[in-house]
Amino acid sequence: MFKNGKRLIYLLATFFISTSTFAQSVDVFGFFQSVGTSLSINQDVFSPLAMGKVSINQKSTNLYMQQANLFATSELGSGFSAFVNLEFTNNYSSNKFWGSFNLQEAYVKYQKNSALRLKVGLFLPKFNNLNEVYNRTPLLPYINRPLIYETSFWVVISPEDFLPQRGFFQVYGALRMGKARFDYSAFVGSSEDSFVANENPSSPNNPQNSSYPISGWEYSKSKTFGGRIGLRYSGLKLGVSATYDKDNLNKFNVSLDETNPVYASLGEVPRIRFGADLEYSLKGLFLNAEYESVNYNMKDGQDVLLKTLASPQIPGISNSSSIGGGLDKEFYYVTLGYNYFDNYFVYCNYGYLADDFNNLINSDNGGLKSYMIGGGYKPMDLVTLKLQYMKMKFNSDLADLDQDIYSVAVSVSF
Amino acid sequence: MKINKLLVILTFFFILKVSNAQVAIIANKSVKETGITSDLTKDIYTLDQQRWSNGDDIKVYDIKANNSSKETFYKFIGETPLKLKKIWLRAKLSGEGTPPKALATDNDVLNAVATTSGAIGYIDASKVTKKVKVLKTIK
Repeated sequence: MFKNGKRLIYLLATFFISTSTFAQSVDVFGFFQSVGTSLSINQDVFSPLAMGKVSINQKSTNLYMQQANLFATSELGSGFSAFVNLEFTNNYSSNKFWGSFNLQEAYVKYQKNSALRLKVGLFLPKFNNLNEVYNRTPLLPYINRPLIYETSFWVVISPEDFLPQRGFFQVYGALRMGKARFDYSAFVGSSEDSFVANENPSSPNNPQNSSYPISGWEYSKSKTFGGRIGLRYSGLKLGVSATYDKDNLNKFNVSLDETNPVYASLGEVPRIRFGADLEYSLKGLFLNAEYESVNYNMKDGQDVLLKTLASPQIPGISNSSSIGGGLDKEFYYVTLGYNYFDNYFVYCNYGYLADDFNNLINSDNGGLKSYMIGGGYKPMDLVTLKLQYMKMKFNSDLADLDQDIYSVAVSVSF
Repeated sequence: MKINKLLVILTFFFILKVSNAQVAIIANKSVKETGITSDLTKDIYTLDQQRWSNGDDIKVYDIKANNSSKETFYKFIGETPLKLKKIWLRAKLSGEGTPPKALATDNDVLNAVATTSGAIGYIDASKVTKKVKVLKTIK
């Protein structure tokens, strides 16, 4: 952590020194969102000793800097521009070991015309409507975002299974068709995060092991390929997206006892993500929705092995393995809202997520459901005050969850 | 009585002039285009189109105040102020473009467009001077 803090200082110093030595102007801007939450978690967790579910209730309140992003962009001339995005989350502090710092994007963009743009470097690829901008809090009415996009839920939900994480090269643009615009994009990017070597001593991807590559390098040959096509007409925007990559299932725990893990392997399993997105606005009304399915292409041997590993571990309880008997996943959300006088907005949202590899939230159990209601006020263009209530629920043989989150936030752009 | 009639007539013509104010889409003289459509204007102001046909970067100007020129211009491109603000903010935060620079008055826009290569803006048509070229007059 201290090493990372020093690296951060060097990176920022290098960035600001180098920007001052070039003739092009550099535009530096950013935003932050500070949040206050009251969290109430009611869980019923199966206990082998009690031979039944035991209730665990937790309450907490938190005041924290959810996120701060610093951007720098420079017009390099002749259609080229550069863009850097640094992200700090959860009260980031290197000396207190809080939160995280992330170089999220750094790329050069070239625009020949509206029909042809290129991006090369490190960036969030286009997938559905929200993937590119899921962490741009001033753009979003939410405090806690729809399930797969909410970073604080990534302890339970693995985002790399649902969303392409990093693009390296992307070609995209918009073609005019009368009053409508046809959007297209295609990208190639890194394999998922779990294929990337890191410096966590307890991780199998430890670069101190000479058989693994340098920290930050991938140790898999597989890459992510994907794209989106869409249509914009008047207040309507819709599109479909797809990606192909491989899931890292080389090592996963099949034991219910986290303190005594038992690891199994299915190798690298090809997967295809399909997505659809819709955005519609009419006067003050707005509707946003996304759907995604993640489908795996297992070989016969992998399929049989998975079903064996997913066999019940507790006699009498049918779904009591730590993993489910499938790998496929599904997610969707719908948000309906209204803007009053450009300064006020209200919305409600429903979300659903199912992961057949996770026995708590697989489709047979009804998945994980979320409900949101919220609103906000913009006293000026650059400041938004937000309120939100969110409920999350799932029910399974192993555990039930009923979680309420009350949140207030201020989102500021500068 | 005659003075009252005169005042009424003058008031009538004043109202007529204000409600029929035309808006001119203006560009810097370095811009090669001689005319512009509503579709291209919309593409420029929604940051889909960022370069002129000769490859020069487009510098876009907007008016800060909600005056009649702005209302007429936004109606011409078929967008609302709220929608455009969202488009500009998304473009800015995702690195896809720089929002138009909003200036206080029509004269500020006129001077900025006149002195900035590749610039485009809009002003009340009655304020146009020979410092800029007119791509379109919106009636």
